[in-house]
Amino acid sequence: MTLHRLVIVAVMATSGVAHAWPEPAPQPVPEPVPEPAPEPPAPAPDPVGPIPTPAELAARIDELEQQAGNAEVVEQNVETLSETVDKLVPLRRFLTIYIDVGWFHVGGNGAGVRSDVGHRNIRDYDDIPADWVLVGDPLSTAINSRGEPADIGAARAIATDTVNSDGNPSFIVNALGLAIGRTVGRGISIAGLVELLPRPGPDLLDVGLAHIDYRPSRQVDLVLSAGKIDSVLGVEYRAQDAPRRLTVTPSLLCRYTCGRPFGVQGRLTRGRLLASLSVTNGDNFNERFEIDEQTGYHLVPTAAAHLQWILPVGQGLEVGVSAAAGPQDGQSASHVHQWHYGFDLRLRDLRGVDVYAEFVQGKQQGSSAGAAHAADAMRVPSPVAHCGIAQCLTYKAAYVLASKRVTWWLTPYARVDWRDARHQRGIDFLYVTRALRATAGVHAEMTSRIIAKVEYTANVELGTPQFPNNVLTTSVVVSTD
Amino acid sequence: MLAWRGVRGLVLLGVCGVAACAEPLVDGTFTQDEWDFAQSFRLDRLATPECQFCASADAGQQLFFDPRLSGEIIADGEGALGALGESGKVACASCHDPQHWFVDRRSMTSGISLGTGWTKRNTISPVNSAYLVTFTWDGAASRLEDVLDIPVTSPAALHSSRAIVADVIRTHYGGLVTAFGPTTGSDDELYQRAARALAAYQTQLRTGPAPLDRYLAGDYTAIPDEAKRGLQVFIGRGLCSECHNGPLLTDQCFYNTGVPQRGLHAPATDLGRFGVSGNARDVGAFRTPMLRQVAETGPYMHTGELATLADVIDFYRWGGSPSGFSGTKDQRLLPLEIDDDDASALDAFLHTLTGEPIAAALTTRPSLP
Repeated sequence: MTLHRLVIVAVMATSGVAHAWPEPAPQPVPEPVPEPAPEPPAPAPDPVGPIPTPAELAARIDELEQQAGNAEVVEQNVETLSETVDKLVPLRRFLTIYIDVGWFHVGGNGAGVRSDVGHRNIRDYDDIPADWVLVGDPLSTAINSRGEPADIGAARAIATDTVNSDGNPSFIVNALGLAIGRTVGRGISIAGLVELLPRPGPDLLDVGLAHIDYRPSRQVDLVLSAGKIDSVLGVEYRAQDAPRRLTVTPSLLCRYTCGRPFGVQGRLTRGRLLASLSVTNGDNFNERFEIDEQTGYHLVPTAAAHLQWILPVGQGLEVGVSAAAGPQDGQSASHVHQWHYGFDLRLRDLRGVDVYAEFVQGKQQGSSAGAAHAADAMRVPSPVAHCGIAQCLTYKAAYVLASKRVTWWLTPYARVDWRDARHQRGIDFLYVTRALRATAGVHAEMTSRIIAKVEYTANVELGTPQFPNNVLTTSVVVSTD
Repeated sequence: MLAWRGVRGLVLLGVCGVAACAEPLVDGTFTQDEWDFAQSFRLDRLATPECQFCASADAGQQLFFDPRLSGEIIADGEGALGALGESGKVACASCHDPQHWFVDRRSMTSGISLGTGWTKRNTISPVNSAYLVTFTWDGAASRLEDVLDIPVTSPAALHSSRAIVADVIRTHYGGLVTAFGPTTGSDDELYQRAARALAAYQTQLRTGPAPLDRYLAGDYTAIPDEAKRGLQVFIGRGLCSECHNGPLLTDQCFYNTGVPQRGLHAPATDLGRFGVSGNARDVGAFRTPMLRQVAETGPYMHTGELATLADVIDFYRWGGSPSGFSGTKDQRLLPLEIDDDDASALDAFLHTLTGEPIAAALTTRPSLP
């Protein structure tokens, strides 16, 4: 046993504590048997032998006691190290690392929007310069699970062109992710997600999740969370990060439901019913659109809820409804509001087929200044820009995603997306989106830790001239768990 | 197994890669949208203006050069056309100089023009004005034959009157019966005939296609590459085509672009279009000037404050002046997202808008009756 511990110490010393715990665990090493030394010709046996003197006995006893003391110290050291090692073992579950790399090619200049040159397509917004009136969808050319477009082109609502491909094919490291999760006792656990994003220009760091979870009872499946939490709207947010996402890219509506706001939430499961409620500083939008700070602007927070029933179809047909409401983000007035509702459906494993479908609709009311405000009330044209104090946004969007596992490792999928939205901020910009997308892809699980995906998306602009912005993108995700 | 999967993946990549195509560009520069919009700048998209009174065009040319239409000079100084109190010294052509594309180079140092007095605003060229539907900086006239009223009644332009004009017609143009009709009649009737004759003359002051027109018609060598980039900036992030659009590169509407009332003789305030419409929104608003032959028609802006096109581009590049003008500046006048190269390209583009000069017969002073 002592020697076993010594072996452990040796392994620790060579691998270093920062490394993952070696596996499998070292096998017990049998006690070594000392080689018998060559012996000189033995004298005639003396049945009694020389009798030690009292002084020799005393010296021998002292030596043995000294050795016993040393052994005890070593044993104590080994025990301490062993405890340390035992404490490090759960790190394997505590920290998951993944790397998502890919290659993409997007048609045109890589952007999903174009200026309405000469106001030829959007005629009822002449007070906004044509270069700032945009048709298409700025995220229709997303190339990774984060929804980053290959290029933002003329887009004005997205602050940073993180990929900036300008229509050129490119390799990319989509993310180096660190997922953290640990139970700390008394029903409390913590979770976090940090993604490092190597990008042109300054690299980026995104803290996606950072929350404390509490399970108050073993009898009731209730989880209370606080911090930077997941959305509760719809179903897509549940598997939005690269290692868990079936597709390479998010749907067009994920921007409204996949955000991770600051707040508190509760999730309750009772039989076939799952209920979630969150109270947050603001909306559940993807942060890419939030130039506003995530800290609260209002006395009144935004509330969001989701109810889901599981019906006995296949491995379960989940039918859900969600809604959110509160003061609009990015402005201080509590009466300027935002609302959102949606329906979702998920069919699990009906003869190998999975189906996801969602529909959402929402509005950010926006706010106008002076004459424009009065004109808004009277519903007459105004020379002063609308939505100049707070941006106006109306949206409807939906998608259907179907997949079929054809072998244990290969899952082809297809998705159809649709989004109809108007987004205006004063004369700074107006987006008019009527977009339809068709996506086909393959998800291959090479091993439980290696996933490869290939996806092609055809973008169609409805009611405006087409421009090349189809997307071919790939992703290889390797994770430690 | 993994190798086979890899091969299949590459095949899939190849097939899909073909579909992610590049955007086709016209002349390697313009998206189809940009090119289609730019086609709206072609001069041949305009119908030839109706010349209702063309029979009197020659008489109109004589009137254009005739200083006898003017009254007393009320201001002197460098470039003055006569002594204070003298009459009959100022003609239309005095400020609309036919040798310089009908703009005023004589009073250039002051920005605005010196007729019988210092006018409020910079002289506008009448070349191609026959295509317009609003005239002058504030749109005070909506027909070409109404334009004459403005200098005639202005003490600073011709300092004249309908009676004086009618008297000149009656006295000196009596023989031009076919041109004017009978030279008898009331002052108003004779004045109207003079105005129509002048309108007829101005209707003939039209240029042919400019290099831009040839370029847009398919001659890709008609303008230099820098001008092509300038056109792209013009209809894109330069936001110029918000107001400067159509074949004449003007929407003929009125905007307050924050041009300050600066200059030696410029009035401290100018209410612009408000003086015509009475609408508070129009205070300090002026008509979008036509950009045809703009490289030849400086100085620029209603005060004539800016001497070169580079100055004008720089003015708009920084969002206009922050102060010194009447009224409220249009909210779209924000600093432009263009750089020095873009500004230079814009300048080059604006030099492609000059068509063939006006025929010498129309710019030469005729003998006066």
